[in-house]
Amino acid sequence: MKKKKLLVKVGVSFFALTLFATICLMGFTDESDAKTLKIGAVWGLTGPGSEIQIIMSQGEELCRDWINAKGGVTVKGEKYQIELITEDVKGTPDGAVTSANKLVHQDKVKFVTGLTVPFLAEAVASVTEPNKIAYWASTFDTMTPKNAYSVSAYTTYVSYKPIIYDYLQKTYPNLKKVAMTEILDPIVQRVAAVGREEIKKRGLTYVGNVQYPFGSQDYYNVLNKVLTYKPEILDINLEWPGGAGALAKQARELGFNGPIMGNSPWDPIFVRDKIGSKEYATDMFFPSFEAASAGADIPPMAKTIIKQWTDKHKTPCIIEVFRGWDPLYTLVQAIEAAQSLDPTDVIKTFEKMKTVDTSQGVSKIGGLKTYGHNHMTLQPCPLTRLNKGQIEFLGWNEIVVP
Amino acid sequence: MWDGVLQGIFNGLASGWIYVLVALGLALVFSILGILQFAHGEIYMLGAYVVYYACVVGHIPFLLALLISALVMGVGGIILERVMFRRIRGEMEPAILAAIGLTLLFQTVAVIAFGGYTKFIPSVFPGVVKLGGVRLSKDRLFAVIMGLVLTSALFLVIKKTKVGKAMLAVSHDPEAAALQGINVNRISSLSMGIGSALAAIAGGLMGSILQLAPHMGTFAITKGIAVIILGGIGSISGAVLGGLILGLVDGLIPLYSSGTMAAIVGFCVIILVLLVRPKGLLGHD
Repeated sequence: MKKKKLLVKVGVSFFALTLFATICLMGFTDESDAKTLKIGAVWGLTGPGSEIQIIMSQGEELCRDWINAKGGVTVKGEKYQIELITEDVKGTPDGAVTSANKLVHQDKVKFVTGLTVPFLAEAVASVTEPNKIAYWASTFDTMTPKNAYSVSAYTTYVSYKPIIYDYLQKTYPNLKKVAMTEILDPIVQRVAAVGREEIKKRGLTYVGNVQYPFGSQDYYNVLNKVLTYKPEILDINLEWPGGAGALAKQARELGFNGPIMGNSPWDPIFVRDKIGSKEYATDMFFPSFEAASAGADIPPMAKTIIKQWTDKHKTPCIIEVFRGWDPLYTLVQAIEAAQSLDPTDVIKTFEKMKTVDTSQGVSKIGGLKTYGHNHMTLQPCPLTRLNKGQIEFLGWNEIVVP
Repeated sequence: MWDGVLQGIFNGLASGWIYVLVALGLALVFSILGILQFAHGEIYMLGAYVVYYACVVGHIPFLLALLISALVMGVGGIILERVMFRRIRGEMEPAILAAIGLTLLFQTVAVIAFGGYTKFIPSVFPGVVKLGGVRLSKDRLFAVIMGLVLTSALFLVIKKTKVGKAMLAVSHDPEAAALQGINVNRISSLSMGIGSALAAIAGGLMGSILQLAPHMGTFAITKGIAVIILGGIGSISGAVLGGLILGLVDGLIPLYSSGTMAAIVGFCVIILVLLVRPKGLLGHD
């Protein structure tokens, strides 16, 4: 009886010790287990322009998967797997602020990526800047010296203008009269203003413009007025791809046969399909590229992305994928260069870097004279033309932003 | 500039007929059920998506897809009337709340089911028709013709058929109509069904001219309400006149100012008309 009681006591003690040891050991991790780096992502997954932002968001997820598959982000010998927390800004500044607040104050991220619309990027920056959170926007044209913690990971829209007007003059030397359509938005008007400077510089004639609200779909009345100026060239500045296709189609329907130039990296396939007929999808050029037409001119990183995308999604890889890829890709390079997870260290390191690898090749970093700091990534600018329904790649051009 | 004015008139009248198609259904529902069906814009949106999936995904011919959409949304409208609006017929505030709730529900369902990004129906009638210095896309011309045909058909049904006369009777006095042996519930359902079918056709036509998106119904309901207030709530002929007037404003004002000013002028026209004729241009008691 005494032996039995002793055995029970020993058994219970052993069990209790084992349980205690297990609980203690749960607090330890294997040295080979990767830690997690939470990064916030803001995209307009609903609302105007969501068709391209969803793809950008998927492009960023592809980048995350690629980085994590290679071991993640390495900082001071520690490996970090990226955990992407994506929020939908719903295409509005209020939505952008709400999303940013949630990421910064609830999810406690130190880095935020995403968005290609400057007024939405500004809304995010209004939250990230005072909290010293590093914000890697896809495109952030309207940065000022006050945006100490913001980076534009993709070439700014204004940077395309000289390249587009160079091509215009070279290809259509006899055409002089330019009219513009512009969305009622500060960045679009800024881009249009740069366009007017290019027109003046090159001895072309600016015949007028028509402005219209963001989110318009029916451009007949806008184009009707623009065409009363009798332009030879139509500059449609910035628009969503659907809007660009609709503008071009409706301009052709109303009898405009001259070249149409755009300023956004639209997916050429989407724009061509939106225009519809081969007769209308012609003499239209804009800063973009599409894999099949670019062929051997595609940079190695872009080829990697295209293969990953088509393997995963089984659909054509369009430029929006790269615009989603680059914020996270360049951010990770900045983190690894800084060997720090402190946003201040990362930003300071980035602005001292001369180049960074991007989806479209090695890109310069600049912008000090124009934006007050070196927070601009300057990818080489692709140029594509629609010619009788065919997509023609016209080559890569170097961007210069002082 | 004169070419621009003529083009503006044509553009405006073409747009006006689309507004008429949207407003007709709204006017019909209001005159019979006595409620302002705010979810009418979402019926328009869902109708457009039915056409998209039938035509683009299912490869069904566009006209057949329009018919399918009209039938589907018509039946949907009848179900809505039976399940929801019949209980609150004639009561403005509960009807508004119910319709707003439906609007939010349909938009959310559309985002989940169809995705948040825009789609488009490839042009059904590519090319343009040229009349002197004026050009109109064949898609828009087809929309105008459909608007004319459906409006005329509705007029004929109301004026010449027994069902139409019953609808008129119910719109004037439901109790008296019931006393005359008219099944008011059946007429309500039919009106809701026809109104929804008209909205679906308008949505499908606009989807082929412009784009489809879950929020496209907002434009339709805003225009629809403006048209029926201008034309006279409950008046079919008023909806036609109101639609064409607002279409002309949208087509001509941007030539001299901007699209935003066109919207302002449109509302100013409505306010001025209401000051002189509170029931609208062709409204009646």
